[in-house]
Amino acid sequence: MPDPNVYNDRVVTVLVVLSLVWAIAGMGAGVFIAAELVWPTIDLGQEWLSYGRLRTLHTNGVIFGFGVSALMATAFYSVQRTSHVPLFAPKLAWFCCIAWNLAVLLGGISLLAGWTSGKEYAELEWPFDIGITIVWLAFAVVFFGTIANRKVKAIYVSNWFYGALIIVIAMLHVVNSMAIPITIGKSYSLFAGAQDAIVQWWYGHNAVGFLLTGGFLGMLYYFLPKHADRPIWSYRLSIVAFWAFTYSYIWAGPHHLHYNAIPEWVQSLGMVMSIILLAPSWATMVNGVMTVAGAWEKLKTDPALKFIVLALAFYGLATFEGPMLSIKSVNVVSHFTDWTVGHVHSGALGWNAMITFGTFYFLVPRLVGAALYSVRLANIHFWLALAGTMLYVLSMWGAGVSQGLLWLSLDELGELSYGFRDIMASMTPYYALRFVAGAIFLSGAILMFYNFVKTMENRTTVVRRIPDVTTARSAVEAVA
Amino acid sequence: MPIDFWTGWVAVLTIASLVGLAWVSYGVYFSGKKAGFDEESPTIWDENLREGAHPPPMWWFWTMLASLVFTLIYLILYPSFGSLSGTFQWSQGGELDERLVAHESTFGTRRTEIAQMDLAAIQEDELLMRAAKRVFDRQCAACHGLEAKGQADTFPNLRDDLWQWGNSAEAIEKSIRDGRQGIMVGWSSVLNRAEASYLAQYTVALAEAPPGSHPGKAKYDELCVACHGSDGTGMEALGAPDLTKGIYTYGGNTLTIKETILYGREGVMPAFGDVLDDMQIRLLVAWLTDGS
Ligand code: HEC
Ligand code: HEC
Ligand code: HEM
Repeated sequence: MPDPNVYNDRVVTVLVVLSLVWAIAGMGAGVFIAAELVWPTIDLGQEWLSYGRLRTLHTNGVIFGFGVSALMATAFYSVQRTSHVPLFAPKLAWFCCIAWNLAVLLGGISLLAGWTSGKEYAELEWPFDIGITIVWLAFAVVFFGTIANRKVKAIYVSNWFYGALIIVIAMLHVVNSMAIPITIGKSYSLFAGAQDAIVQWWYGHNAVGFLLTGGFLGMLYYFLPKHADRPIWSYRLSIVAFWAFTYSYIWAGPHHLHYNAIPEWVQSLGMVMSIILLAPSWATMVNGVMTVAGAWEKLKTDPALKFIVLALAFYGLATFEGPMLSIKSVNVVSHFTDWTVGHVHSGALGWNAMITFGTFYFLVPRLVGAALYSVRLANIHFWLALAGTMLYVLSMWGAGVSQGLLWLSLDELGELSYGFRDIMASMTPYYALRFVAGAIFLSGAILMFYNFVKTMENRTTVVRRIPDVTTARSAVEAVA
Repeated sequence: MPIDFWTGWVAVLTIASLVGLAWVSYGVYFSGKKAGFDEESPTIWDENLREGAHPPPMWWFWTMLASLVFTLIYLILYPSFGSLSGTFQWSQGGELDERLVAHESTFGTRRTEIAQMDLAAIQEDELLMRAAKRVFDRQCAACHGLEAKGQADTFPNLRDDLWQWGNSAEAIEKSIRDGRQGIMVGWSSVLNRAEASYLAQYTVALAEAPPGSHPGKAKYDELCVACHGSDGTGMEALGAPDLTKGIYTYGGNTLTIKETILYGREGVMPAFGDVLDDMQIRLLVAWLTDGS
């Protein structure tokens, strides 16, 4: 019989460790495919080492392995604390933890074996899709069950974002994955042609929106004020940001299909909704920055807070760049180039990975009841992460913009000035730089892993008792 | 302007959403109510989590409003809801047409000139030959290989001296413009395996010395001469290749040739007449006949 006065943190610890393992594996795969683009023969002629298969392993590993495990861990951790109750159905939480990671592991193997539905970020075949749906429902039961049991009337803002993550991803995943199975490892989408493309990018963009952005905003809203020990700057700004964000995001998918064979009005709506999206995105960034304002001294010494604040800066960058890329006349240059890849990674490395690192530096010592093994290593990690991200983003911007302009350039005959092959051949220096950038970023992550392993060697038993619910007034009264 | 159901549906949904966004923003900024927020006694979660009462900055409100206004204007000017095409009457197809017209007016004269140029003159002009190579890279190299030397035992080498369909500039131009489809029927219903093997050996022998007597010769004379000729030199009109040169697209060992004989071959060269313009085709012909 679990103690109703104690938080369930073991499952959180396990999820954090699994997330770290995925971070190393997924980023490792990323560095390897970056190397393949410079030295194509290192696949040794093996199909399972080929770029096509490893790229999907990389994206699935980092998004669903590293990202979702971190989101589940932090959602379980924070929903208990903001509701002042232990997890609802803790066994189900364990099921989420184990089944999810098993799905990603087996799914990864199936990708290596060449199974794929061919839908980006939804490559796993139908048996996995069904498994994922079941785990996700379990996640919803644990999360919303905990909220339903809460002892505090107001639902804290981080939970709105985690809640939106769970609901919207469930909807996207089920609709986009609908398919007719042919064999155990192959199915065909229920949608065809332009419809399939629209559904796919409705999914793809909102996976970015509600998982890579919304979910991690939940993380931000809990761990930033918690760690900085400051109130969220403006309650009203967080309300308006949340609703404007969820409402406009869901429309923006067609900006991935500009000038394609989808109706023009769909492209128009996708574009304007993406431009509107700048405002709610920056509202959250401002809210976050103003929350730390006043805790700047802490920023100098505390690597966790440094990571979180830097993540906010990259969040601001990516969500400024995104609306710009959605403008059709910009997209004409950026689409089909590495500019998109640069944009993705300013989000993925600068925002998602950094905020997760910051959160973990805060979380792991608390979970295992031991001080961080080395603050110095964490600071080195910070600089490696920053250097890796900057180098990555800059090299891909360089590559992308030059590709975009070179593809479009005409010679004096009115012929395309450059062949595809010539342009690709000129990309080697950028790709080499990106490989170095990735290796730097990965080495930082490995350092963090080592730091946590050492920290865990000193672990003690931690039992977190649930504190009483207070309000500012009752706190004052208690002191008086 | 007739408005169908779906146009109306999308329009209502979109406009309601934009109004909703404006209303939420307005409400949060200007309604007196602090929706669920008790400034007197704000909730504290988890010992130190609180929400601050700072008013949201006004510039944010104006940014939001500006993007909504921009949205409205854009949706009036450009294709917006279903069948509404916007006051600019802009369309993707229309933009493409305009660009094509602009392209034609800038480069048209020069391109027509080149399309009529003498092949030798093109071959001497390095700039034109580089352009030709780029067109080949883009349109042809995927099948014929980067250096036009063929690949995958399927796509013919265009740098050797075997031309199924003829090596004159006219023949090559026709291959590009109209495409080609060589049809060699399979003979598995007529020949037994031994006969096919003899025929394969005979075919190989054709390339070496003209064999006087050979166990494959009888069948060759019966089945193959109609297309490949009695001496094996082929027939350009049908695309039946010259078998005396020892050059094979599909492979020259006797096993592969036996396969060709038993099951036939049907190579397809797509037509590029609608894809490339006269100048591009002329450049390709010049590039392919250069040095041959
Ligand atoms: C109806 C006309 C016709 C007849 C009859 C015919 N061929 Fe062919 N043959 C062709 C054509 C056309 C091709 C080229 C096929 C292609 O381009 O895919 C060809 C291709 C070939 C090739 C492949 C050459 C390469 O480049 O790899 C061989 C070998 C060959 N024929 C041998 C024979 C033999 C032996 C016979 C008699 C059994 C025969 N053909 C009968 C029309 C014919
Ligand atoms: C989809 C693959 C494909 C592409 C793309 C392609 N070709 Fe071909 N081409 C072929 C095949 C297959 C043949 C052989 C046809 C046959 O068997 O008769 C061929 C034949 C030819 C021939 C006739 C060769 C001969 O021996 O007479 C010429 C010339 C030629 N191609 C030029 C071109 C040029 C120039 C381009 C680019 C504009 C091009 N091809 C693009 C597949 C292709
Ligand atoms: C306001 C917010 C954002 C907008 C409007 C936006 C817009 C865009 C646009 C226009 C593209 C390029 C589409 C193309 O031409 O192919 C793109 C790609 C992408 N963005 Fe964003 N972006 C935003 C924020 C983010 C963030 C925070 C991330 C986090 C990682 C992110 C991840 C991605 C990914 C993964 C892709 C690649 C999709 C593909 O595989 O083609 N975006 N985004």
